[in-house]
Amino acid sequence: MKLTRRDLILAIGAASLAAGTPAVAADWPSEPITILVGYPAGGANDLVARTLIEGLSERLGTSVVVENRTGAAGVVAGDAAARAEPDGYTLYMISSAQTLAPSIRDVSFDPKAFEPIMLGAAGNYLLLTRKDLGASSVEELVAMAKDDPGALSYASSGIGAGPHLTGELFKSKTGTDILHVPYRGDTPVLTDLLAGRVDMGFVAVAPSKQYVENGDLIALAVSGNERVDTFPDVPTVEEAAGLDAFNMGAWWGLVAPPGTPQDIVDKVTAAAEETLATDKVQSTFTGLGFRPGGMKGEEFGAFISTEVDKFAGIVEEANISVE
Amino acid sequence: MNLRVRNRQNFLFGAFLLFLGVAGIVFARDLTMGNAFRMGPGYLPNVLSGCIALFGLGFLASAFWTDGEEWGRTAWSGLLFVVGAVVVFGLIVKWAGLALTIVVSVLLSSFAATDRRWREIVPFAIGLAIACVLIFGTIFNLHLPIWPKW
Amino acid sequence: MVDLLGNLALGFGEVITPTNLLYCFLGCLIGTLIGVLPGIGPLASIALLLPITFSLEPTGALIMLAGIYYGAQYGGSTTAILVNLPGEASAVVTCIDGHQMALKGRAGPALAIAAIGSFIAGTVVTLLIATVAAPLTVLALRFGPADYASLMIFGLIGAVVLASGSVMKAIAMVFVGLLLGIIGIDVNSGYMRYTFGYPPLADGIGFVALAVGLFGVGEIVRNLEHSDSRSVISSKIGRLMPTRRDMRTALPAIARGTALGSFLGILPGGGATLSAFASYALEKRVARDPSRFGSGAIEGVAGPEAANNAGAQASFIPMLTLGIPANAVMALMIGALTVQGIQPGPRVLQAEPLLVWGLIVSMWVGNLMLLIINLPLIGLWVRLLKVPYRLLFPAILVFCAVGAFTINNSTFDIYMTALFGILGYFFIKVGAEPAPLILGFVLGPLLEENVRRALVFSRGDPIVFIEEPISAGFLAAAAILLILVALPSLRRQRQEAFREE
Repeated sequence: MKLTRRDLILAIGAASLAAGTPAVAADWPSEPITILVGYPAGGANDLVARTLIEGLSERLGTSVVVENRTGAAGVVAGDAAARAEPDGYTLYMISSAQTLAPSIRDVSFDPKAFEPIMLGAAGNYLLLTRKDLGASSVEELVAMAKDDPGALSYASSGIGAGPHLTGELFKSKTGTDILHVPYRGDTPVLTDLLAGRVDMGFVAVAPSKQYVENGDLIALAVSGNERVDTFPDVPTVEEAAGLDAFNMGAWWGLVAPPGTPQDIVDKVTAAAEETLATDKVQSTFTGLGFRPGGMKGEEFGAFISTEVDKFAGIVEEANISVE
Repeated sequence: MNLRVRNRQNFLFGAFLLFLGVAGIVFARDLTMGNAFRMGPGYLPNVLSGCIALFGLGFLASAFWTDGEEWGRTAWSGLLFVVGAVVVFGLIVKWAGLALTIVVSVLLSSFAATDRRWREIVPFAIGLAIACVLIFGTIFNLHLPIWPKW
Repeated sequence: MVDLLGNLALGFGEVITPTNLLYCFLGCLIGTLIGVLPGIGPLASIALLLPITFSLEPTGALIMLAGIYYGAQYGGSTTAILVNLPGEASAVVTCIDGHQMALKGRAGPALAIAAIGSFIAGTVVTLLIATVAAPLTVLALRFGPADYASLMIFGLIGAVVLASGSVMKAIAMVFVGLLLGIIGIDVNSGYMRYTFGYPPLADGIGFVALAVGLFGVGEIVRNLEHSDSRSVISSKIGRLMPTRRDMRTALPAIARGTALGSFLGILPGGGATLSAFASYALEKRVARDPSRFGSGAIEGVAGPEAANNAGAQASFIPMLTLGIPANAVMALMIGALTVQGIQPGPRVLQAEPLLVWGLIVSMWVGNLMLLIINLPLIGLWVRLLKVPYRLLFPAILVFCAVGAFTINNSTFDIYMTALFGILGYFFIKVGAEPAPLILGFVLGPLLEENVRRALVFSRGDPIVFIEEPISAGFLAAAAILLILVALPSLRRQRQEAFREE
């Protein structure tokens, strides 16, 4: 057989085409896997990802690394993940913030479009008040707020963040007028609550735990629809204020870029499930004040969709607008 | 009256400030102003841009009645190759990888030096690339692209 | 007192184990390295090491992370002095006089005094943490938004003192810095400002891109104006160690810097950065001949270096006593401890005395190690300056670019570095100094956030700024400073006016 130059070019073309198609699941993974995290190192999102990588890398037989692609309240990473090559080498740590984002600002990606892998962990907020506010229950707090509309203030970790929406939902469900004071993250919120400059706020369980145990802050309620193990005596907002459908919290889960082959997603899911089940991961999450997740596949995908719709409903109901 | 730029430094700085201030106001036009006691997101941008523009006018004016220092040389080729090397670094690093990018940037930037010697700079560039790969890729394990992706 | 000695002894016992000493040494070494390299800061490297520390025992892990943190402060001054590259906000001030000293062949004394100043500051703050951490924290908690706002105003007026050239240009540069600081998401409203719909801008301009571009790249282009510049320094490299006279001038500056840093470092937010700037401004104020500043005054290196190390270590105080992180690195450390099952906070001292006292003592041991690591290195660093500039500048440039790239793994920061490099050279040519701009850039967002928060709390009533005693004090001090700054130039103008008559 005589090889013409044209044949050769064709052959090379075909070979490079073959190399260009997404990795076949059989030999996946042959490269390190990157998990995109949209927030700085040390944040909840990052900690959940970093807790999982060791086990994932053991089970998948390749190194798994976290890449903090921070920016625009997580939008930069979400965008990068949505446009990443769907070859299984880029995964994404999505969170409740991304399902909330489309309802408050223009977001270039669709949180429902990702291939769901597994819910890593979830956590609720505590409704905290400063210790000398004088309200010992949600009822008293609501009465206080109604007595003098606009006199009370609540802190949130940022405009459009989960605690802000939770606060607005609380206001609209209880019919109260409470002044919103936005901060940059949980830390300054706690500082000003401890100093008594702001009256109340919704804050994640882990960072506020010790102040509640110490009596420096008072936890009136939990924002979820179940009580938390850490504070079994603290009622849920639904119980305490007689409200229905008050279920707010944050969660973090693993997804793959849209279009990632199902067999690769399945491999990661299996590895993630086993990792999550280990004592080490379970105790790390509990120590951080989170509930270990576990929801996977279609169930997790459906959960993401309902969250997007839920937040859109709240934003509309409470009339929150950013931009 | 003799209108002549006597202070080139102040003239250029003033022009820069005026441009920045006006641009600042133009691009903040969609933001709510509010007032000093209830500041909107546009309050500070507008106030600052206004001040900067005023400073710009002041420096522009002063350029006509004060004397500037001697301007000296302007290192145009230095600016071109130094800044160019940084830009090229950004353009190629993602696919060419750190090692090759460093060699290219070092060679490119050394065009800015009149006393460059290729026999010296080429091995130096390669040595620097190896050192950076070791420091950033191995010791800190920053997961940067190291080798070219073809 | 007996308690204190007992506690310190307890801590020493914990630190002087071979493993913990090794962790301490490793931390200091890594810290020095990342401090020297622009770009990778302590935050990124601690984040990278975090998973490794999960499997260490908590004291060792914390000792190592702490070593990285204050080691980076030491290392940062090296690059600032030698090649005018500030990797962090606090090193910006060190560039001003430190690099001038290097240009005059006094890189050795500059590096040595930076290390000695940092060591003295570290020692004092270690004692401070051991004795009065709790009352200091209470003081820090009393700082409300109005007080912060006034402190920032005071700091910005102080920034003008940073300039060794035109005061008017310095003020204009502060405003430019404030405007650049606005870019990104507004905390109080959530609006995007000056982002032009471009997501990478939503978090604002990166500090490293700004500082490295303005200082490092701009300086390189300036040096290339003269084709005959064969090395960075024209004069001969003198002695490596400071003279007795250097020490006499520097020691009071170190003492003042330490005091400023210990206090401001406790405040959450820009405390540690502010303390370096404040120290520089203070030194220039109290100096008999302020005109030496900007051309290689040793106090201008000694004071700020002591202040930033004191500030860095003082930021452990609110973390240990309240569990409140004063900055992002501290937040990461809290994360590391939480994973270990230890919740830093009011009760950690009783619950984990070994850990707390071990950490405190390790800080002093770490500072000693850093001094031992850094002093012999000075000879090596100084020799670096003898490398011909035609080879040195491409190397610096590459480190700038890699540094900018490693921040977010995005090329955007590299382009910003290039852009600010052009601006940096422009500013040099028109005689406008970049340090006031940087201070405006760092403090501006904090100022706006706190002013607006204070007004939200007071429901729009500006009286809060005078009503709060701390705030009123800072505003009064700012007013006095303003008069002090304005007086000499007013007097000069009047003299000139008289002369013309």
